[in-house]
Amino acid sequence: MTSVAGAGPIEAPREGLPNSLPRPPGELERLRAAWWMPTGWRRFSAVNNTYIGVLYIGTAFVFLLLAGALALLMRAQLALPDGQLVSAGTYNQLFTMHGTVMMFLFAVPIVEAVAVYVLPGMLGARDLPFPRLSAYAYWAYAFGGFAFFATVFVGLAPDSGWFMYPPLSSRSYSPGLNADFWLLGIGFIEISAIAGAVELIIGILMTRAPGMTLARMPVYAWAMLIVGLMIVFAFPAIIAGTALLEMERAFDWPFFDANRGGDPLLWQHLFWFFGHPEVYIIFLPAAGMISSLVPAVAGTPLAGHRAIVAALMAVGFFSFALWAHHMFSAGLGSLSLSFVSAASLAVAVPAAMQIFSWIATIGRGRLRYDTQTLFLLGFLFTFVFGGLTGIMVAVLPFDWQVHDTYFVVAHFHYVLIGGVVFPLFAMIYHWLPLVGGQRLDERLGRWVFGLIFGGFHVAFFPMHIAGLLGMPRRIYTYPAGLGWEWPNLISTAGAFTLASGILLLTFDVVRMLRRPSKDHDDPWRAPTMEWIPNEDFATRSIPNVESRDPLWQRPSFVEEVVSGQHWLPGTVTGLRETIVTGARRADLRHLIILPGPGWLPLVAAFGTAAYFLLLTVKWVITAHAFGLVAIVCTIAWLWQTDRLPEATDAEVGRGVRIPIGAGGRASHSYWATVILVIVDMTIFASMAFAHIHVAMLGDTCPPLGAALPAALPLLVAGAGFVLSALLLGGCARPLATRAMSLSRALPWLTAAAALAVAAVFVLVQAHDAAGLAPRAQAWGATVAALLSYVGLHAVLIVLFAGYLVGRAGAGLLTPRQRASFDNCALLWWCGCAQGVLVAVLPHATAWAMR
Amino acid sequence: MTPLPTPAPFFAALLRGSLPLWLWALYFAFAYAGVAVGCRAGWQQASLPGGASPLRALLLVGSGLAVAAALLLVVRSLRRPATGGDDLLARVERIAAGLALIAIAWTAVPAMLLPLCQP
Repeated sequence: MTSVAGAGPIEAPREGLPNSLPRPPGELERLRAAWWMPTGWRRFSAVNNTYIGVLYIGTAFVFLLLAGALALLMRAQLALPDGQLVSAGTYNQLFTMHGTVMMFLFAVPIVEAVAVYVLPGMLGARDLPFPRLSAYAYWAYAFGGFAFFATVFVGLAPDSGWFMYPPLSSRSYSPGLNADFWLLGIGFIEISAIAGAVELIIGILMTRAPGMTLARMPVYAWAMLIVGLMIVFAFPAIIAGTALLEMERAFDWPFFDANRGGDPLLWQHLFWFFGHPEVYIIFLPAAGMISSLVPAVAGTPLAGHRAIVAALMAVGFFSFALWAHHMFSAGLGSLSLSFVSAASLAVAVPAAMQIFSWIATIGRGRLRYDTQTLFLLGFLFTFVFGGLTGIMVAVLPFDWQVHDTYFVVAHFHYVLIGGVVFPLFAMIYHWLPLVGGQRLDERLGRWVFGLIFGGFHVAFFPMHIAGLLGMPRRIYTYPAGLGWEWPNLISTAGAFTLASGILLLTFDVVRMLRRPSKDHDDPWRAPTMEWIPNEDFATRSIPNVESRDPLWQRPSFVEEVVSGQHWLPGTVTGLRETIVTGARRADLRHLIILPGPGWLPLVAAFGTAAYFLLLTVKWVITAHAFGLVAIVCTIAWLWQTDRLPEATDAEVGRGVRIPIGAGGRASHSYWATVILVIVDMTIFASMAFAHIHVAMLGDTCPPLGAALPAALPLLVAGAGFVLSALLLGGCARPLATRAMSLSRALPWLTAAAALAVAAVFVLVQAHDAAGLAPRAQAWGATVAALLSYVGLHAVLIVLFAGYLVGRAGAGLLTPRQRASFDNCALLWWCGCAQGVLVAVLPHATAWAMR
Repeated sequence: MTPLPTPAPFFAALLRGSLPLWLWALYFAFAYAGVAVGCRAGWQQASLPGGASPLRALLLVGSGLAVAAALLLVVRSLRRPATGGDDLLARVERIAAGLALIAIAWTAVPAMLLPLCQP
C-alpha cells in the first residue's frame, strides 16, 4: 500500500501494465506527426483542444474586461446624484450590454472554455471527440461576439435590459434595430453553447481513460456532465423565445401582445425557464473547479465525494423549478408561486452540502495559503453571503419589497461574482501553469486578491442598503436627499478598486504568457491527470486508471504514462486516435479517428455569425449568401467524416485488440445526434407550450374569428409524415449487410423526402383554408410558428436526402460506415414526429379547453 | 480481436441514481400545472362532501402519494446492499432520495395550507 500525506491508504498497483518498455523506435515520432500543430497563420486552422481552449478562455476574459468597462461607466454615472456623464438612452444600452455580455459572452463561454481545455487531460483522452465542433463553437462565438459588442460604438446596442421583456422590447416601444441585435445576435451564442454541450457530454461519457469508472470520475467532470445536460434542456427555451419575439417584431405575429390575445408573461416563462438554470449552468462548473482545487490545496482527498455528486444532480434538477421566482411580482397565483418559493428554498440544501464538504476537506487537510487558496476562501465567504440573501428573496413577501431594487442587484452579484468569478480566478492561479509551465507571481497575487476581494465587497455590500432604502434598478440618475448618496459613492469607489485588481491580474497573466514556456510539472501536487506532462497529442499513453486520485495512486504512475507503458502509446493508423470506453465502467470499447486541422469550421463559423448579424441589419440577400457559405462548409466538413481506414481493429496494449470505429448505438456520433434530437424536441416543446399557454388565455379555443382546420387533410398530412419515416427505415434495411447503392438510395430517399414535403404542404394548406391569420391573433401566430418550425425540418429533410444520395453515389454508405445514415435518420424521424404532433396539437388543445 | 466484455448498463444505473429526483420533478410539474388547470376549470369550488374542493383534494392526494413514493425510495435505497466501491450511482440514490423527500414534503406544505386560485 502507498499513501500521500493525509490521504489515507491508496490502492496498490496491479500486476503488469498495458504496454512494456522499451517502446519501438519511431513510435513517438509517428505520434507527433499525426498530431502536428500548424504554424504561422495556418495555426488558426488548428483544432486541438489545448489550442482552441486557450483562445476560448482568452476571448471570454476579453469580454469580461469589456463588460467590466461598461460597469465602470455606470458606476461613474451613479457616483453622485444627478450624474450627467451619459444620457438615459446610453445608460439603457450600458446596463443591457453589461448584463448580456457578462452572461452570454463571458459566463457561459468561459465555463465551457475551461472544460474544453482541461477536461480531456483530466479524463485521460487525447482530445475531445469532435474537435472540429469545438473549433466551430469557438469561432462562431468569437466572430459573432465581437461584432455584437461593436454595436455599442454605433449606438445600436440593445437597450431593453438583458432579459428583453416585451412589450418594452416589442416593435412599438423599441422600433430600432437594437432589440434585433440582441435577438438575432445571441443566436450564434446559443448554437455555440449547445455545440459545446454536445462535445462535453459525449467526451465525458465516452472518452474517459480505461478504468475511470463513474465512481472514479473527478467531480469537475461530473459537474460539467450535469451542466451539459442542463444546457441541452434549458437553452432550447430561449431559442424558442427569441425566435418568437423576433417573429413578432419582423412579421407582426402578436405572441406577446395582450391586445391581440398574446401574453407578455409568456416571454418571461420562456426566458426564465432558460434564465434560472443558466445561473446554475455557470455556478456548477465553478463548484466543480472548487472540488478539484480544494483537495490540491489541502493535500487530502475530497470529503463527501458521493454527497457532492448527489448534490450536483439535485441542484441540476431543482434549478428547473425556479424559473418563476423571477416572476414573484408578475401577478401569478400565490399558490403556484409558493411551490416555486419552496423549490427555491429546497435548492439551498444540496448547495449547502457542497459547502460543508469543502469545509470538511479543508478541515482535515493542511491548507497551503497561496493566492488560489485565498480566492477559494473568498469564494466560500462571498457565496455563502449571496446564498443567504438568495434565501431571503426566495420568500415571497420579502421579494415583493425588494423586487427590482438594488438589493437584488447586490444579491446576484454576490452569487455570480462570489460564486463564479472568484473560483475562476482561483482556477487561473491553479491551472495556468498548464499553458506555459510558469506560475503567476505570488507576491503580486496577494495584491490582486486584496484589491478584488476588498473592492468587490466595498462595491456591492452598500447596494443592499441602497436597495432597502428603495433605490430601483436601471435608473440612470437620482436626485439628492433620498439617502442613496453615500451607498452609491462607496459602491463606485469599490468598483474601481475591484477593476484595478483585475487589471493587475491581467498584467501578471500577460507578463507570464510572454515568458518562454517550459514543461509543466505538478506544482500543487494535485491528484488529477491533467498534470501529467503532455504534448500536442496529450499524454504519451492513455492512462489506465485505478483510483479516484490517480496521481496520488503510486509514485511511478506519471512515469509509466509518460514512457508509454499504458494504453495506445502511439498511433496505430497513422491518424489522430483516441479510445472510446463504456459510459459506466470505462472498459475498452473501440478506437475512434479524430480529425486534424482544417479551415472548414472557421469559415462555417464566420458564415453563421455573418448570417445572423447581417439579417439583423436587413441585408437579407448578403445574409443568405453567408448562410449558404456556412451550410456548404458544414456539408463539406461532414463529407470528410464517417470514413474508416481499411484496418478493422488495432492493438492498444499488449495482446489487446479493439475495433476501429463502431456503428449504431456504439458510435459516439449517434449519441451526439440523440442529444441534438433532444434539443430539437425541447425547442418544439417550448413552441407547443406557447400555443397551449395562449390557448388557455382566451374564453374560447380557438378564439373568435379563428377556426380549426378540417380533420381529413390533417389525417392525410399525418399519414404522409408516418409514411416518410417508414420509407426511410425501409431504405436502411439492406445497409446491415451490404453497401447502399445509388440505384436504391435515389428512389427511396427521394420518395421519402417528397412525402415529408408534401405533408407539410397539406398541413399549411389545411390551416390556410381554415382562415389562419397569424397577425390577427396570438393563437394563429403560435400555429404559424409551429408550421414554420415543421417547414424548417422539411428543408432539412431535403438536405439530408441529397446528402445521403450523394454518399451512396460515392460508395460511402457501407455497413461499417453507416453513421451518416443513422444520424440523418434520427433527425429525419424527429422532424416527421413533430409534423404529426403539429397536425394533432391545435385540435387536441381545443378539445382539452372544452 | 480481443473479446470485449458486455457493456454495463448505463442508463438503467443513471435512472436508478436519479429516480428520486425524477419523482420530485414529476410532483412539482403535477402541482404547478394542476393548480393552473384546476383554477381555470373552476375546481376550487367546494363541491365535494365535507366542503372540500376537488382541486384541494387532488393536491392532497397527489402530495400524499409523492411523499409516500419518496419514502419508499429512501427505504429501498437504505435496504439495498452496496455492491462495491465502484457502484457510485447506487450510493448517490440514497442521498438523492433524502433530498427529494425533503423537497417534496416542503413543496407540499403550501399545497395543504394556502388558499387556492388567489392572485
